[in-house]
Amino acid sequence: MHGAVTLGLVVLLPALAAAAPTRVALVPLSSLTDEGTSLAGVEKTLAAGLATIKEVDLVRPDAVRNALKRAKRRDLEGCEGEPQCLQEIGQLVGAEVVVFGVAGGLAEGQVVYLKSVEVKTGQETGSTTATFSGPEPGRVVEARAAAVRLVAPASYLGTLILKVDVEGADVVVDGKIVGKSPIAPIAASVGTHALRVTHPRYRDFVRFVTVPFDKAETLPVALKEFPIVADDMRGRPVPEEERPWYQSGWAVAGFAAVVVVVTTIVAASIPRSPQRDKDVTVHPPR
Amino acid sequence: MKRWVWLVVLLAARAALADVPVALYRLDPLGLDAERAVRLEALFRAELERMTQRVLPNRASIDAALAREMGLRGCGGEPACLAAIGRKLGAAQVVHGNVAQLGESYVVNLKLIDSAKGTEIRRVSETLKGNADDLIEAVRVAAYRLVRPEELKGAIAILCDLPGALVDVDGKPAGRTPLARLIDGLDVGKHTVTLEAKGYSPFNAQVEVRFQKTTDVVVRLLLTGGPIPPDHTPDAPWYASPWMYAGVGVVAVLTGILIGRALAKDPTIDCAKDPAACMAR
Repeated sequence: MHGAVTLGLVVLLPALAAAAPTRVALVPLSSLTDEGTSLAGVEKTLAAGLATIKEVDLVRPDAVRNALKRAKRRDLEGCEGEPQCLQEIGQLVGAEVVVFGVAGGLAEGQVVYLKSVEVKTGQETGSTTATFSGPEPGRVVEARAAAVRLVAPASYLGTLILKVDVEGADVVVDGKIVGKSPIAPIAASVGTHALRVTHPRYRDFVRFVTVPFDKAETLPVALKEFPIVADDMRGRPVPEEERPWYQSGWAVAGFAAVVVVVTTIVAASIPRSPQRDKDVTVHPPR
Repeated sequence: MKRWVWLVVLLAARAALADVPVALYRLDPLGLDAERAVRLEALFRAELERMTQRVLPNRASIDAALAREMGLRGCGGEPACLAAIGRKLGAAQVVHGNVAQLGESYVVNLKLIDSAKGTEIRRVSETLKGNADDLIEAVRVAAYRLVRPEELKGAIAILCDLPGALVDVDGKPAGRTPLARLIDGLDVGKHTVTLEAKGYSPFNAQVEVRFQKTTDVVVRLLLTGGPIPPDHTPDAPWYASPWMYAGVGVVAVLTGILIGRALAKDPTIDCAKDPAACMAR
């Protein structure tokens, strides 16, 4: 896997990791104020956010209300978020997880304090805050982010795309080496991370990067080379050692040849002394 | 039954923490953004794990181990309580420190405690100004300065187009060019690099060695001007020495005599065999 390492492990809650989607019930919200009229819109936005999580089989607030009416459990309709009543609501609608929220006004928007409760154990499994302001598309994005934080926190990820201008540089996120450049997009948990891109011959690129939810943060990484220590060996080459002609091997050989030839001529020109007179008969001239 | 399960879990947790060479207790933020401090602590721990080649206890496991130790949970960094934490975690040494920010100035303070003796082994303080991003490198280097200062090493690569030049680093021979490998294991800081080759002026430079980096040293061969005039008459090679001449002369004379004598005419006339020649005389 060429450098593609998932930082925030893409492992959902055990229940969500299963093939079958988790049945999650969004209980009608409670209000911190008396402005109950605006809660329907927030509920709708939150439901839309939860519905975007493919591992979630959502039971919408209206369905919960209807179920409570059919069961004639008016006591549960007034549930203020106590784990026990949320557990009972969950059992009533056949949900595995119940999400409950309390909404309050905030200048030009609303803030919703959300928590999730596991129906089986009645234990709170998560909590988060969603702040809604501005136009609807932005609200749904915020609702989805809050929903993921709440029911699938391990999936609360963004993507970091690094465009490194040097090949073979190590990419280190929060101290962990995640691959070498060129590197595939990195899935990272939402928030700030300590990024270091390092190569033996370049200055480290260090940056705190903020990874947004469900989006890709693209970061060009221009590595700067260290100054190279460079200089010349300014000397000049030593010439081949110039020796007198008589110090060459050929001169020695020539000398030897001349001496041999001269000596041979001289030696050959000197007649031999008669050495064999005793062995031959010298006749007198006739 | 439940008691046994808990015992097994506790023993497993204890075994997981046991006998680690070093543990990072905390890297507290002082005026620094908490999220950045968390990331710096994570990278510090990752560097320690890389140094020790061990999985070290993380913040969650440390908190779990100290959950019932009320006295230790409030440890403010005193050697005695850090040592107790180290013993609790099964770590031979414990690191504790903080990262402080004041305006655009940052200070990383770290100390290393011997868990058995309860004494401070080393203390490191890194100060930097300007960009918070630089803390990423500062904390990493500080981790090595604190725990493994002997591993603060770098390397030099010599690139020279003159083969056979003798390379010295701080007066110690490092080989001849071309060097087959980097000159590594050098302490961080300045080093004197010298290249010498017969007939060339020596190359001499102060080279900065950086932590886990390779500094390139490029030595160009520059042939300028004519050859250097010889400053002395070179010695004759052995085969052209006076002694060699004398020896060769003697051998040549003897050889010439032998050949000449062999070729010389024999004045003796064998009148029995060659009466005509004999009569001619």
